[in-house]
Amino acid sequence: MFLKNKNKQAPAADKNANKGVRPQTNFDEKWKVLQDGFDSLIDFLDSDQKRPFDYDSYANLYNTVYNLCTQKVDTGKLAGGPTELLYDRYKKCISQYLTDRVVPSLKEKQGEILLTEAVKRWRDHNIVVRYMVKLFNYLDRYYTKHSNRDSLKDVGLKCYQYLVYESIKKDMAQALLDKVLKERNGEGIDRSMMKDGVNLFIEMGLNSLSAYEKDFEALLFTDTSAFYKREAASWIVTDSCPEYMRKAEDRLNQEQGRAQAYLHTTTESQLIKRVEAELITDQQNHLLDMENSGFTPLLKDYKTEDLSRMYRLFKRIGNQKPMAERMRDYVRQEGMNVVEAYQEKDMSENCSAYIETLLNLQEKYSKLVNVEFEKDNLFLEALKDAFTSFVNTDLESETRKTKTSTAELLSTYCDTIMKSTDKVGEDKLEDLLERIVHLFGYIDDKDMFQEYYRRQLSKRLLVASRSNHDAERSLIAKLKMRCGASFTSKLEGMIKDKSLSEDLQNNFAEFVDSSKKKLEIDFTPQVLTTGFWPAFKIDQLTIPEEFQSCLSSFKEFYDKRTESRSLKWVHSMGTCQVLAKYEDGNKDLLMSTYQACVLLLFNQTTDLPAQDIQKALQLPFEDVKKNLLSLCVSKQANILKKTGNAKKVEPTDAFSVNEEFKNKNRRIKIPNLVLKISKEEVQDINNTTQEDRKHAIEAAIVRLMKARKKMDHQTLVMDCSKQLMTHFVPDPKVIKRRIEDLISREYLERDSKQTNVYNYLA
Amino acid sequence: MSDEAKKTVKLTSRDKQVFEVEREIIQMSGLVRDMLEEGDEDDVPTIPVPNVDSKPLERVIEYCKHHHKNPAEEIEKPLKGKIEDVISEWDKKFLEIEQSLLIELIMAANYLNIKDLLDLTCAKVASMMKGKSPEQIREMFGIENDFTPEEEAKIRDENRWCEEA
Repeated sequence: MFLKNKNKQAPAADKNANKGVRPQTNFDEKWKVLQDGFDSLIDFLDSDQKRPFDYDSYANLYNTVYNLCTQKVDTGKLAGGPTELLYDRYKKCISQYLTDRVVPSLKEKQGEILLTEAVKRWRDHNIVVRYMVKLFNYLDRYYTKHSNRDSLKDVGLKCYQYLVYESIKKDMAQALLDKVLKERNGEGIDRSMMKDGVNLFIEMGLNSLSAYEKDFEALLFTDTSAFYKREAASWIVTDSCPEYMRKAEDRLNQEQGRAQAYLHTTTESQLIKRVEAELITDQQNHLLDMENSGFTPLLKDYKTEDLSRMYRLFKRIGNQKPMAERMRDYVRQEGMNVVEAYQEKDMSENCSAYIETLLNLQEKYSKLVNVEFEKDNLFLEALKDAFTSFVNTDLESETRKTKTSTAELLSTYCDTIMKSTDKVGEDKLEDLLERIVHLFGYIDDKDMFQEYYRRQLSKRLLVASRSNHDAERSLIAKLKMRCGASFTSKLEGMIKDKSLSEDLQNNFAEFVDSSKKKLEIDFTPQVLTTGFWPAFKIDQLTIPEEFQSCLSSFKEFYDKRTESRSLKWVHSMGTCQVLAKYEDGNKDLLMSTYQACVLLLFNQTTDLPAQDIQKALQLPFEDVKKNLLSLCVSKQANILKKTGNAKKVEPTDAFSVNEEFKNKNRRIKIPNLVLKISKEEVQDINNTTQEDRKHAIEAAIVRLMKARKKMDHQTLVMDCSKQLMTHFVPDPKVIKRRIEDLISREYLERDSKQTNVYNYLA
Repeated sequence: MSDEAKKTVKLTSRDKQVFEVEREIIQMSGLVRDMLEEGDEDDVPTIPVPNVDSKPLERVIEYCKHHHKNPAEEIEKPLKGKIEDVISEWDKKFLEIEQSLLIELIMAANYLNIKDLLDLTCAKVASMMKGKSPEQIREMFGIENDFTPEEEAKIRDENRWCEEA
């Protein structure tokens, strides 16, 4: 209401305040005041004054606009209201200034001079508009707003856009592009001037980037693509791949710096994309396969810096795949060469060398992938593919008729390490175990490894004189992380039995004391849980009397503690320390229980033929033979001597104690026969594993069928394989056989309509 | 900032009275702010306010002193009830002035471009007019009826919605 009646109300209020009638304002007269103000503003631009107006003239000009807007105005013959007139005059006087002063100053100018002048003129214009907008503030506040017209600021900018910008934009853009080219060619340029020039394009869009994008950015992109196409074409001919990549990376960094220094923020990524397209995408295959310096040669020479750079460049364009593929092929080949080199070799001697070569290979490339290739999934996969392909190749020897799997070799290697953890050193051990488990991850027959590992672990725990339980636990924990708890439960159980046995031994000692028994020898029984440990041979060994009392006491003790548990003695895994009295002193002999039993026989007699020994012990002759040999063949431990062929044992060969036995050590270890995995055991492990696999496959089939009730052959085989992958890679033929077996045992049936579909029979 | 806060300006009213005010306070006026923004001022610039008398100017300064650091809450538009219900105690007291001074305050706020004060004073006038007939309003502000009967009928017709409400 107030605003609507403004023109009428103002004088009325005036009347109240002043009680006088003011004369009507004459528009042209007042406009002259404003025009003069504007002229002095223009003069101010080229002067060294600090301000165009003092406070009095400023107030006067503002007041003039205010009065023209609020009072009764005589507009004479002019059409339209005073505010409308004022608005038009504002526009007219700015246009006049631009046409008369600015446009001529830019005419015919080019290059740097044009840039400098245009920037200066644009700055001046902004000053002019800023002052005018302030002085005409009252007009803006009411008229512009209520009549929905462009704000005075926009009018000012639009005038410039229309009258000045349109006529110079082409030359301006060219001038900027020339500068960019100069900079690309290594000349220094005034970047702040570039920024001002670029800003002119941005501001000419009046809150949109259209002018900048259309009149400058598009041209910049075209220029950029052409420039780098030429660069790439020349580098690819003259430079090696590493050299090219260095240049490309430098260029990309320069362009990024440039974009950040004086282009609009939206330009950077688009600009870089164009440079990448020319420098990388178009040349990717050339670079990868460049003779003598492409990817494979770099990998061969392990040029980490260049490889890392190549990765960074290809990652930019999101195409690391060809690189990963080449790495996979190369590593596979290198691995195959290693495998090839060890074929035909005696793996019982070369096991450590072979596994260490594989471990080094793995460490070398893991490091490359982890550090230079930023653990990129594509590369991790490629490495896995490559390693899986050669690690799962068995080593065969036709001359020896042996076939050794990496699973076995790796377990044997673990065995070697675990028996000599002191040599490895505590600080390096963790890292080595980590690497072992990593390599283990590539093995398909994990169950086979597990079986070997279990046997060797059992021997380490029971027979080996020293064992490092912390290291054992650490390796088992790492395997658990990789394969899950079910994989290591038996191994953990074995370790646990070992420590439980220690408590048990203490309790047994107390029991012996309290029952006032006296054992003739130190006796350390170990109680092993059947399921955890490998199946041991149970023999008919005739226990010497000296031992017998220990066994019965322990049985008495154990039966009191537990009900319905039966004890079975595994003598084959036992060890003894025997005190031998020689003329020049006593010796402690460390040996197996079997060997000790043999020696004990010589307490009664001096000469014994092999067949009598066998009868006395009640062991298979083969075992007796081996143990006898172990007691007389070795130079360091020839406790016995024999008649006949030194390397063979006939039933009639006589054995007697070697009285001349000499050894400067007090403690002497007799070679233990059970420590190594024998050929029969290898066969046994293979059989056990195959048998276990049958059960595992059947269990998986039944699990799947029980859940889904109906499945076709293809899917069943696939899903079954998937489930078992963490332990071994099942042969589809074996799966098929298991299915048939399950059908015959009526767990499954073939569907009556579709022959390749099975139904679950509950 | 503390130095800046102590700086002052002198305002000269239409009747040549000079008021010295802290800059920070009087910068509530868009006009003064715009003028001071150009920088390089004298120590104590003298700014003429040729459109405002000393009496309303004094009140304007009083308003700015109170509100420059705690701006008033925006007044609802359209005003639903009485203005006294939506403004602060201080503003209520501030508005207890003669009608002629109120009008002058409106003019001053408008000229000096002080939006909050303009809103407050205009809302007061609106509140005064509320529920009154055109004749009473004309009477209140001393406005001459310069509509022809035809014009008046037309306007009443156009604005019927508002009378019915």
